[in-house]
Amino acid sequence: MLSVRDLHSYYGKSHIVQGVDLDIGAGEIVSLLGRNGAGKTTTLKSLVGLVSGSEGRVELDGRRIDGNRTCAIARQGVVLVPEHRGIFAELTVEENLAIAERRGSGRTRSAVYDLFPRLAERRCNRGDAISGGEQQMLAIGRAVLCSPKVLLLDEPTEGLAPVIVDELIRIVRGLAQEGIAVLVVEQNIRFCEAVASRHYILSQGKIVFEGTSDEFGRASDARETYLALGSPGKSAGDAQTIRQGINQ
Amino acid sequence: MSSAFIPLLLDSLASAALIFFAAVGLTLVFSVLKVLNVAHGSLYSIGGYLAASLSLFVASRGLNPYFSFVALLLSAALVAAVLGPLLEATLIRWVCGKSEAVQILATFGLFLILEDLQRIIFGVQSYYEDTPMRLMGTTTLGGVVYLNYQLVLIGVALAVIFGLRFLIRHTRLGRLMAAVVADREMAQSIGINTDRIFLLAFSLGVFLAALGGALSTPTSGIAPGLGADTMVLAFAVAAIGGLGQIEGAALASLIVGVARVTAVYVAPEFDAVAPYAAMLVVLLVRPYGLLGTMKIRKV
Ligand SMILES: Nc1ncnc2c1ncn2[C@@H]1O[C@H](COP(=O)(O)OP(=O)(O)OP(=O)(O)O)[C@@H](O)[C@H]1O
Ligand SMILES: [Mg+2]
Repeated sequence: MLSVRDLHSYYGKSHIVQGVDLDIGAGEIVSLLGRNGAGKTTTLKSLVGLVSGSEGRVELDGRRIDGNRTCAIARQGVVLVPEHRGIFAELTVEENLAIAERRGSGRTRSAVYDLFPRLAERRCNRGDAISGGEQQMLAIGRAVLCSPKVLLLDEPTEGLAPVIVDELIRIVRGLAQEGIAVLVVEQNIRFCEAVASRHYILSQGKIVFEGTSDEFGRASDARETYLALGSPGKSAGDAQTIRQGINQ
Repeated sequence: MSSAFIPLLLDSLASAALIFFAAVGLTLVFSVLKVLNVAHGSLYSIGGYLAASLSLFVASRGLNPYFSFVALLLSAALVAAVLGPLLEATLIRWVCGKSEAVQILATFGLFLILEDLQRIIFGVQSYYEDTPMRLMGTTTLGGVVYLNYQLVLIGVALAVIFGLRFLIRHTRLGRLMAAVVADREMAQSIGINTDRIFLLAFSLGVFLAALGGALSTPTSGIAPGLGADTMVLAFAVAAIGGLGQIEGAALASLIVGVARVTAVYVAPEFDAVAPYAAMLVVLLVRPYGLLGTMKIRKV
């Protein structure tokens, strides 16, 4: 569905993303991991045309989208939910959704309220008068209204309580089941292991690991070198706990 | 006393209404596009020239004089429809996001070009065509004679204030503008065509300026230099009201209008400096203007 070849991005003279290749299929959830400053956010922003100094080939269903304007890319179906959620503080929850809604597109506000009942209760609240978890749901709901084929989530669990993280896991899985491809950038490795079936590790702008969850689980060297995690066993155990939590 | 006071009040309000048309567009464009358009006053005078020319044409053809009202509105709409998109898609889009110095220099260049174009097209003579004002006649109430046209000017200005408030708070376009103002990249990321919003907001600003110019012709006529005079008044209003608020622009226009007309009545030699005296006093008390923040909307 989304294929990225030889992506390079620059901020002025600094070469941040250095030849990244990525592939994400329909309904697939893929994680992009890496240390602070590795270039994960820059990669996501480049995919939607928000980094002016970027080059490379980005294809959506075989059609090139690199070079298009950001709003055109969003309408073609690649939608970014940014790191700090980008909720419009002065608009209400309802208005935040309304501005993303497009006549004639399949997704409607009421479908979003069905997906996130808590947002329906908050629909008249200002964007800055709802909790962090609700803001994240609003950000995802707003992106869903754009009828995405590919969702790019930048640190969706940042600062959220574990129960909310569990709810996000359920929602992201649900979206993937509808055929949406999801690329998720996360520091929260447990969240990634719970939702994603494949993982990429980015280090200093280059992909240094790519593999399925099993391969990722076994690649303790890569995890220690590039992610500086504790013992793999512990983290796998945490992922297990999360899975159990969801199954209950 | 009251027979002298009421005309002064009415003249002040009518003058404030015209100043408001010029200033509110400047404010709107600044708050949405973050561009300070020094050429904004020229759009007011172009609207005035076009309205005067069309009205004279209506009169010279012996058409129904009520067509001169149509001429006023039509000229404002024409200026907005032609110059709005043309300027926004070229110079204004280019200066968007550039430093303030670049914006001021570039739009000052545009001002010079527009002023010369007006001299080439409309000549250097002044235009005076007051058919709309004469058609409306006067009302005598309690021994005081009111020009009905002035009452209409005040009414139209009030309608613009409430219309803009409604647009910003209760329409989809208003929400889109608020989103684009708050976070341009985020707005684009959810598929909002920010260029289209900028074009609409800029054209609306042009329309309001041109409408002010058109409405001013029956009362004050048009002469070379109007663009510059208007610009300076609009900046005084922006400084007093704080750039970026419709209510602020309205209040500041009122202050400038009152200052100016009072000077005309009391000490005509201070007519030209009165608006700046008012500006100075306000800024000494409130350095960021009366309402002081740069927000186009609060829920
Ligand atoms: N707007 C910018 N201008 C210049 N340099 C930038 C800009 N944004 C990011 N950088 C630099 O690019 C590098 C990569 O940043 P990026 O935000 O992509 O990292 P990240 O992997 O998302 O990190 P984090 O985990 O902290 O979010 C960093 O060294 C950062 O300092
Ligand atoms: Mg980041």
